[in-house]
Amino acid sequence: MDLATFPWLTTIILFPLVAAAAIPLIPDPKGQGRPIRWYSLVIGLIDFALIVYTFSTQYDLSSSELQLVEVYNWIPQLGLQWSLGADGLSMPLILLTGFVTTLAILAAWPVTLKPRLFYFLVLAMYGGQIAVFAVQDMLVFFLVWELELLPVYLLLAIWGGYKRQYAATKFILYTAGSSLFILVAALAMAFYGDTITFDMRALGLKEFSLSFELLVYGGLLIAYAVKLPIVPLHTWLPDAHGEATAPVHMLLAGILLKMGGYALIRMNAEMLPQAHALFAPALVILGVVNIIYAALTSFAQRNLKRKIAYSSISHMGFVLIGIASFTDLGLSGAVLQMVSHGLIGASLFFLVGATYDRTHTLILEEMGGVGQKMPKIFAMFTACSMASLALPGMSGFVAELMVFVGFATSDAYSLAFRIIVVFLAAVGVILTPIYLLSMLREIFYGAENKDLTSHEALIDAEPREVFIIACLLVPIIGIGLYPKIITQIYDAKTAQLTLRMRGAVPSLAQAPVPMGSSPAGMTTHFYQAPQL
Amino acid sequence: MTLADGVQLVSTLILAAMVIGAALGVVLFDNIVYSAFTLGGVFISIAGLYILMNADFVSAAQVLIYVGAVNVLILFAIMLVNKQEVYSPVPRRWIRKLSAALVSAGLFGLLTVMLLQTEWLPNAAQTAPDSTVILIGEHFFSDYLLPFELASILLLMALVGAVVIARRESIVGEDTAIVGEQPAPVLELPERPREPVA
Amino acid sequence: MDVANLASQLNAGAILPEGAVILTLMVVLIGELALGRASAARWTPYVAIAGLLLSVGLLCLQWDLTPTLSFLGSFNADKLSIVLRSIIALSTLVTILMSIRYVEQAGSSIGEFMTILLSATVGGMFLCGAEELTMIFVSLETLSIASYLLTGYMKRDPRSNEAALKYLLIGAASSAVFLYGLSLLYGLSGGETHLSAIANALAQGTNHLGLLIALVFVIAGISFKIAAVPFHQWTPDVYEGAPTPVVAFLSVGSKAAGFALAIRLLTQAFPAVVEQWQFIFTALAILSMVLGNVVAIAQTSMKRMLAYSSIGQAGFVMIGFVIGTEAGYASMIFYLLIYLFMNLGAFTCIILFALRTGTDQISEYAGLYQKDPLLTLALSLCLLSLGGIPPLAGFFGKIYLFWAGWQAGAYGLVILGLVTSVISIYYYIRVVKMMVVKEPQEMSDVVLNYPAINWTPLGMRPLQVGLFVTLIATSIAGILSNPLFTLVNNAVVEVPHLQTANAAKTPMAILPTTTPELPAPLVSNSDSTAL
Repeated sequence: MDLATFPWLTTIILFPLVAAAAIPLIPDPKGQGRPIRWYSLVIGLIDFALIVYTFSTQYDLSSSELQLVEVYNWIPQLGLQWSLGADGLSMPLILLTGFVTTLAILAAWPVTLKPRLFYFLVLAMYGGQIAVFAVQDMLVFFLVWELELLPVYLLLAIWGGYKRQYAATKFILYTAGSSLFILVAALAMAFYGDTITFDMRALGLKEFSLSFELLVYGGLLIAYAVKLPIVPLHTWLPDAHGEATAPVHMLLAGILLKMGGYALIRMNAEMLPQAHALFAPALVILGVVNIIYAALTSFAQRNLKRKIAYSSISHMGFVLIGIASFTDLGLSGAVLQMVSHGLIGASLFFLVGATYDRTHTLILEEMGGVGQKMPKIFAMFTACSMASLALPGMSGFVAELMVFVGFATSDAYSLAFRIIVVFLAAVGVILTPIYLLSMLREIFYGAENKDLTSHEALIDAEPREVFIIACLLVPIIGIGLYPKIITQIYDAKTAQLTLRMRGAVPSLAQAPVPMGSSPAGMTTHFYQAPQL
Repeated sequence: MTLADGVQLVSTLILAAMVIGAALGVVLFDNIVYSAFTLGGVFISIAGLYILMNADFVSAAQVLIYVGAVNVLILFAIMLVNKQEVYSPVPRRWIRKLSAALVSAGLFGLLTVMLLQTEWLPNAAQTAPDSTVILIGEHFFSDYLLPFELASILLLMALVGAVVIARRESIVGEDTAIVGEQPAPVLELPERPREPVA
Repeated sequence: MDVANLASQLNAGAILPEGAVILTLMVVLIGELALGRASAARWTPYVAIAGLLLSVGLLCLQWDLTPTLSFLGSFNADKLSIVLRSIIALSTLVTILMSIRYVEQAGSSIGEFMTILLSATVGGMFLCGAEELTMIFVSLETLSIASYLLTGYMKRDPRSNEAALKYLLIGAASSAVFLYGLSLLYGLSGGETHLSAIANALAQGTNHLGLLIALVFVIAGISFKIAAVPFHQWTPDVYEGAPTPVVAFLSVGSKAAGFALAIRLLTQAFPAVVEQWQFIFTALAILSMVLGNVVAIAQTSMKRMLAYSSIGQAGFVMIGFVIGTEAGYASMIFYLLIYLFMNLGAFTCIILFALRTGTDQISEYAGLYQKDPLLTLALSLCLLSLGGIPPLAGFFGKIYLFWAGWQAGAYGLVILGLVTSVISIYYYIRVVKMMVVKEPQEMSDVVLNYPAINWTPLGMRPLQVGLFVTLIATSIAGILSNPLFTLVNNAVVEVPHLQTANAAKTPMAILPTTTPELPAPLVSNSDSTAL
């Protein structure tokens, strides 16, 4: 077997899917799903190990090129190719997917309702989500994008809370409706000019007219705005997140939202740079609206899950600002924010689930004073909240700081615009600790709810839960202390991408890239690591 | 205009008037028996038109089949059923009648305009054949062989179908195993009818 | 002249597949007479299946022959007709698999059911290759009259009677209109009945109004067959009242025959008014997609829902038809092929459910997942495939249609198709939700009393086989669709009149860079432009 030409990505994608198809064959004498659970966990671990192995041996950090490329003709009559590849944008998210999904399987230990179906869907999502980040063909991208529709729908509709069916239907209508734009954009771009191709790199090389780019950009923006989400199109998210069960929640917040940000960079910014140059101020404004509106709304929520869901929306605003900053540092920060929020969001939602399992309520007024009985959960919750509110030393801080600095030093916008945006975003950053800390106070301190605290079910975290949170906190703190472990994966890519984006802005095309024209970008200067 | 042409023209006009008149009768009579009889008139008049077009075989077939078989069958069916039912008059029926008349008149006008506008290509074989039966037979066994043979399948299937519909069923039911909880009613759809919407 | 000589002169080998079906029909009819009704259920369906398999096999053998007109120009056995005839034969085959138990349980005679169904198949298959007006009409009537008879087959059920009567009356009227259109064609072309001769004769004339009226009448007849809005009014009642296997046949086989007729008649006989018929069909496609999919949302009965959804599906297929490109026709046939499996799969499932519980109300499916996972899985997959969820076959069918539509510049139609297919996802997934998502306590009464799953009674095995075949085809025909794409492309490429039809359109550049070599890396270029 030749390791260099072995189809690693295809294996990584298909392995969980094939393994999922074998789930009905697994004997489950007690009907509690125990063998299925272990089976899924093992599959998840093997796949994650495959990802890590591929990353560490077959992936060249210093290259901005697409690597691990595999191209097979699937349906040549349509120009459809099974074309995979990973570059600096996809690789961190593929790693994140493997990591979070495996932990979500572990987090799903208490799920006993219809275990076969549950683990089947989770494993199917595993492969499908990696495919979204690895696929390099627009039509196949649409296919895998839609592929995740049904598993999420069923995971929401069967295992969710009281309003789960409403939430699931809302989710599927929003997502299916918005994904139409992807297909239309793919067709429009593929048929533009005199060759027909769906290959993303070939599409990136096509010379589109400006008006065409604007149309396609607008369409794709709507599609990804639903996913990311961007504020006017976000309304499915609080419902879906508010009803999902903890492991599903981890997948939604940890990975699904990242699909929107990833696609926004991969397609809108990379393939349509002219339109991006014109749309960028709008993205910044949307980003600021996201940050402030969602933070304020989160502040008013009395339902724990909805509160955290809005905080997710708020954090995604930084991704938008970073994408639109036209600096290496800002873009770098956007990618880092996605990875960081993937970890933090997953951990917070897992803890919310763990708390709910014990208190059986999500309403803040009905909780209170449970900190005494559950010190470990309290400690973990606090740590994750700190990460979420961007405490220095945690990954969220680095990411948000990079976005801020990147945007503030951007030469694409006027000084006044930059000052206003940074100021408003900073207001959002200040709001985050207010609502997160007050939430902590209300749950764990506050007026003690005697009925609740005297309840026998109110036990502290079990080792499995501590292990999951520990797993998530290690990279969160690791990135916070030494961001290069993640940024080095994509520095070359973001630098090259920044150049491309700037090339489309006439005033920036000739100007030097501010603060860090070296591929490693500003991060290395800013967080100069001690030379070992 | 020769005498023959004149006779032909006059007969065409008379036959056409008969067709139209009888057809109006079919539609306008309230009593269905009258309608059936006037339908016979339509068929006969059309047979007359066929004769004027030198299609003697078709004309004979028209009389035999449509008048002799189809129309008589219709009359039989009407008389066998013989059910006097008093229909309550539909309110504002004249609107329906008027709109139907308008649509028919419009269609008639359109087709007339079309007929007059079109330059009809003359048929290649203008001379009347000696015997239409031979000509039809030749066509049946040369270029129309396939549809002619397919028609036999059509007739066979129609025959079988007519028997299936008309025959009195002996209930077989006893030896057939029942899968559902209740035995399905014989010769009915297994699905229950919908409850009427309140 | 001896028989062999005559047969070779007529090129009679072209209709061997139909001959096989006719022979089977005779064997079934006479055999049932000779051996009696009691044993008929044990062998007639299998004879019919064998005959249809033989027929499909003969069609495969004909694939590589050079197409020549047979029976002095009455019948054309080109690749297009071979594919469409196979679709019809296959749809009958699957219909027979699902009908044995159904007819048996209703206590009807199965031999005659097979006879009529096979005659309908013969009619449909001849229609696919018919090249001449008389042939077109006779085969169309064979198909139609057989369909009326099958619709009324449950003769003690008032719903079945009502359906048959409605179908007969509306069908007879549409046949009359269609025939009037054909007679106008005959007159306008100066007494020609062969389609190519008609096209030649009409090319010289300037009889625009007459041709348009003929066109409208012909389209009315065809639209009735494919149930395009506004010629669809018969569909819901007929689908609800007819025996379910018959509905399955009507929605697939009969519809495929209608599309075959449309392709052959309109592209071949009306080259002078291509824009007009494409315009009319565009309107029909829009109406069908919108009305079919929107009204389906409100249905409570599964059969009625599938009736409306099949109207919507016909609307999607019409996208491929109206754009008039080679890829358009190919995508249309590809979709019909995929639709065959997914729709018949769905019907197999609802027949199974109806046989076990005696109902087809959507609300009665609640909680089925707990009692019958296999049926739930099969029905879910077929419905989701109809809705176009990847990676099922229907997704690829729709992608190809939309791809071809976009290629031909029919942007509005494609976008409408996309929007309506999202609507269709909504009502398909409602059924899936009903079966999978409902809690045990929300289970419907009939599901609570669901009988033990038993595949042994007469006719259940074929049903099971049909279920698995359609299920597997629906699941993997999309992912492994490359051979099917080659098949439908070949079927269209070699048909001359489809080429002339699309000559009017401006074809896009030849197909993509499908070589496995990678395009030049993005970086070098973008760097050079940026710096």
